[in-house]
Amino acid sequence: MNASFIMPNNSATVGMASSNDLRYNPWLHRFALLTAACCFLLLFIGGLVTSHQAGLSVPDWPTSYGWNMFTFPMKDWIGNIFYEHTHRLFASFVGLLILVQAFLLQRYETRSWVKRLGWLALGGVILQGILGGMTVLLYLPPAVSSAHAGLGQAVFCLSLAIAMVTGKRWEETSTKIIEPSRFGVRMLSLITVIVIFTQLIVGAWMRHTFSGLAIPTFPLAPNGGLVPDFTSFGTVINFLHTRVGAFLVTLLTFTTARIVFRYHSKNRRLAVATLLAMFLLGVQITLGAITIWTQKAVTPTTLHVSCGAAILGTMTYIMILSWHVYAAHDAGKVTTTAAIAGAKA
Amino acid sequence: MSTRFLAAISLLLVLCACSHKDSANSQVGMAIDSTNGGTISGTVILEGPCPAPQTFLCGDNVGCDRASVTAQHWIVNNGKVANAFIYIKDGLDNKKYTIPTSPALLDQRHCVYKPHVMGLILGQPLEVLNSDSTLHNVHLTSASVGESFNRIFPQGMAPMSSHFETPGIKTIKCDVHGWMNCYIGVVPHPFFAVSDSTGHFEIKGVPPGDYTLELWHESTTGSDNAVVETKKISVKAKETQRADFSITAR
Repeated sequence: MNASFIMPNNSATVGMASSNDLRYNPWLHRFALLTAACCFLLLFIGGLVTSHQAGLSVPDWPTSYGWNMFTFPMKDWIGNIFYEHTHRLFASFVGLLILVQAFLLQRYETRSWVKRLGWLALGGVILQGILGGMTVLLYLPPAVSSAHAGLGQAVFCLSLAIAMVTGKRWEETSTKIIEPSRFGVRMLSLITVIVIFTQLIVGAWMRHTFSGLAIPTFPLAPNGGLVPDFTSFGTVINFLHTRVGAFLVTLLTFTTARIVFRYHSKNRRLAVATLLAMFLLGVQITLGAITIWTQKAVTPTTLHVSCGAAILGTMTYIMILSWHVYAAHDAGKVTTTAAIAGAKA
Repeated sequence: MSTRFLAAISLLLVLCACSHKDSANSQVGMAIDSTNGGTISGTVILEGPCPAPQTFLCGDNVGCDRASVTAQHWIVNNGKVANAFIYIKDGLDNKKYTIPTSPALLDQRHCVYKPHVMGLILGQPLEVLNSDSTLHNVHLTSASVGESFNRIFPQGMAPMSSHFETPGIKTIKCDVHGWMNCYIGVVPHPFFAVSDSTGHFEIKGVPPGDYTLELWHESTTGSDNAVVETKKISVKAKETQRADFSITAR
């Protein structure tokens, strides 16, 4: 592997892959993009199922009212069955996409770790299907339903990662820039992704324990203060999601943005993604407030779930890009790497 | 010696087991004579405002044979509340009652449950019908572990039989038609009633004695946050005892 070094402005760089080592397959990348987009759409449809409380409208699984899922007559897709059955069918389609993607990666991808990502996504979507069936057969226990919601987000992020690493720009990145500060965008974005994912799990738990209106007012609590009277577990979980979690995610997103615009503003992709994350965060807080003010009306509630997934996806993109483009701020490591590369040259 | 000791211990254990079984049976106690029973009569009155009626459009649910459904949370006529479940909560310990063998009927007609609130004696069979030309699911939610179920109920299917093994307020809902729900008050005796459209209820044949009467009424969000009121009452032989309830909607 050739090594190259760039010293742009105030940043040092270390060597990465050369441009003649490209493994870009446009159709593979497009297929991965399609899969990731469908994963996102599936999260939206899953959100509709919960918003309509339609999860048990088809009591049996994997059959639908005794029919094979794929032959269940359309005339019977009535009421809430429409949402649940559409969710099952579209989930099957996404499962098929991820299966095909795993085989395509196995066939056309040269990097073994990318192949493993494909199989990991397949394992995730199979487990996700089983969790979906279990939650129906066990009458939506919050733990299983929340795990189903959380794993769905994880599979979406995995699909997004596959779409990124199969992209042309991934291979074009031939250098790693040393982060100017020890606590840089890499670590911040990683922590932010973990906190957002935790926030989504708490949100799912709140949703599946019907605690979404346990604190029925926003931004102030019914007692007129910022902190409500904790009269039930629902109030606690609601407070954790609508106040504590929302604050932490906002704080971390803006801190990440500050680092990005201070040190990495020339990285256009990173800057645009950060702007998008901040925009989505604003939309998300507004949707969350509207969800409470409208007593969980279907449209804002489902959009809130989807926007949460979009923020997680955007921050995952920022995290992966940061870890791909930047190297840790470690003077000793830079010297050593540079010395080795220099000796080879 | 040791053989005799073991035999004695075994006998003791068997006796204990039998007596435990007997005591379990004695939970329902002895049969009673209710010929001298009194009557509890009353009216359920709403204090304060009545929640606005909620209307659901049936839309594409052709089999419902109707355009819309009004939620049955609060049926109030001239301040009198229908569909309140009133029952004797305490005071009937160790009494035994005949469990009817004929099933109580719950019908799904025009995409609503009929009746919306009903009472059952513990162990009495329940028969669920589907008079609609569309499919439903019958989803029972019970606080008792293992009692909940969710079954498919397509149009034309034979009536579904069930029974309850624990007392309490059970919720049945159809997840296909989100507005469809009903409540079944399961109690271990026949002394219960559901208030009619004039808010009136009557419990007959109550053995003389002192009781705690309880009223249960759903809230606008269902069985969560339900209205529960209790009242002490003394029933005398062949007399009617008045027990009016004033409740606030929520």
